[in-house]
Amino acid sequence: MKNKVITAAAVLCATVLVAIIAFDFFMSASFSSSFIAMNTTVSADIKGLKAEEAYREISEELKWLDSFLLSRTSEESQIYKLNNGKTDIDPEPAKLLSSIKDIEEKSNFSFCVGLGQLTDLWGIGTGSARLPRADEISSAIKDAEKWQISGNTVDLPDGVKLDLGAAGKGIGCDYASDILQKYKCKSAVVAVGGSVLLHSTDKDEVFTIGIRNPKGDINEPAAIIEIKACCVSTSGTYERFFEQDGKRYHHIFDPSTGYPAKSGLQSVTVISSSGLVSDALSTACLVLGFEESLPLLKEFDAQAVFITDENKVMTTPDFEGLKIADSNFTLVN
Amino acid sequence: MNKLIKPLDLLLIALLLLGGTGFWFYAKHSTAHAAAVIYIDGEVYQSISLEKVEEPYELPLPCSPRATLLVEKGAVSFKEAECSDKVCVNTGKLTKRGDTAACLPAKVVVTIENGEKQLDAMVY
Repeated sequence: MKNKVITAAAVLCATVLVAIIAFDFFMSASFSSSFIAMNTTVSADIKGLKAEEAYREISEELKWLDSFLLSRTSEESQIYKLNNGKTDIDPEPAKLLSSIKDIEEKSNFSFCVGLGQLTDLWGIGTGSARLPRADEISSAIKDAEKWQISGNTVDLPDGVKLDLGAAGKGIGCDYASDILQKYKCKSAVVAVGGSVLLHSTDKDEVFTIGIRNPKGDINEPAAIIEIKACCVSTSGTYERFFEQDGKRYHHIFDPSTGYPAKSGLQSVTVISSSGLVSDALSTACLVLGFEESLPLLKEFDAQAVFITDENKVMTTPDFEGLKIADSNFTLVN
Repeated sequence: MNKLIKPLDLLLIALLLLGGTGFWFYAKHSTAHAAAVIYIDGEVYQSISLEKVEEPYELPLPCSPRATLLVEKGAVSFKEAECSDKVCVNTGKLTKRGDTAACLPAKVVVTIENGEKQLDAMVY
């Protein structure tokens, strides 16, 4: 009898041991790494049994997206080809451009991808930035809004060049999201530069995201938000700029003037289920300013956090889960 | 019952194994110390446990254009780089989990992994 009890206890211990090992196996299934694509660092922290496969595919896909779809300089890129005379494109980029045209129209062209000539003219971020003449600027923005897409055919007016820089990272997040779903990953954080994809199969999982202090280092938050799975993108006047004669010119142009947007905002962070929408609207809202952004965000069912030139932090109505992280900033309701 | 291994022996072995596994599981899942992970062209070049660094030292990287890191107790940063924009050097010190600096022309990414998790990500 005593032997039976002892044997049973031994079997129980062995069972618990196996359970611990199995539990650990499932808990630990995760993979983290970083790579460079789309002119930025992409880092992925993925949990799930196929985390590593998902990572590898995300890495290949985003590099492909960069070289073959979005790049303005790679000759195999669809955008490059369009800018150099091609009119018909594959269904996949055509669908993307249709979504982009829809956002342009709804934003009243405060977000516009026909600004290739303008960005080239200013040269911000290339090392040869300069303040262009007024006539050069008007010429660069003329017809920028008039590019069209119909089916798989793109019509670019003369002199208009497409530049998807303001939406590329968000588009990358959407591609990564599809891959994470394909591999049934439990949860993941994929940061494509400053556009972040938060993925979870648990709809109640909460993520903590820092919104960069416009006047601080890249790793210093002005505010911290707690949100569920979605995409988050920020546009800021501090990202890329040049200074001339004591004045600072940043890289987010108001398409209606051709000059850097002056809306009283240092940054806008948009939260949306779509990466493309979060990235495009963060640019549009920085151009529009706080008041005029609200109806646009509502139309796309997106939320946003605004940081003004006076270090005031504002959000879309009913946004919860924001904490100020730096005493230089104040939350205004 | 087998005379070579008595039930009590079996229990003792099972308890020891269980204890060992439990300890292993605990050690694995408790928060590991911050590590600076250096990626060159997508591959891990080196991983440095920043808590264990006593004296600061320079680490030249086998990349092109050249870049050198400064490794200190609890922090890592780009000390100098031959790239034209110096964004890497201007990023400053990386100290907490998630902090990242990159030299894109050299295809180098340095990021802090493990350690206390404060934020899932930064948007900027």
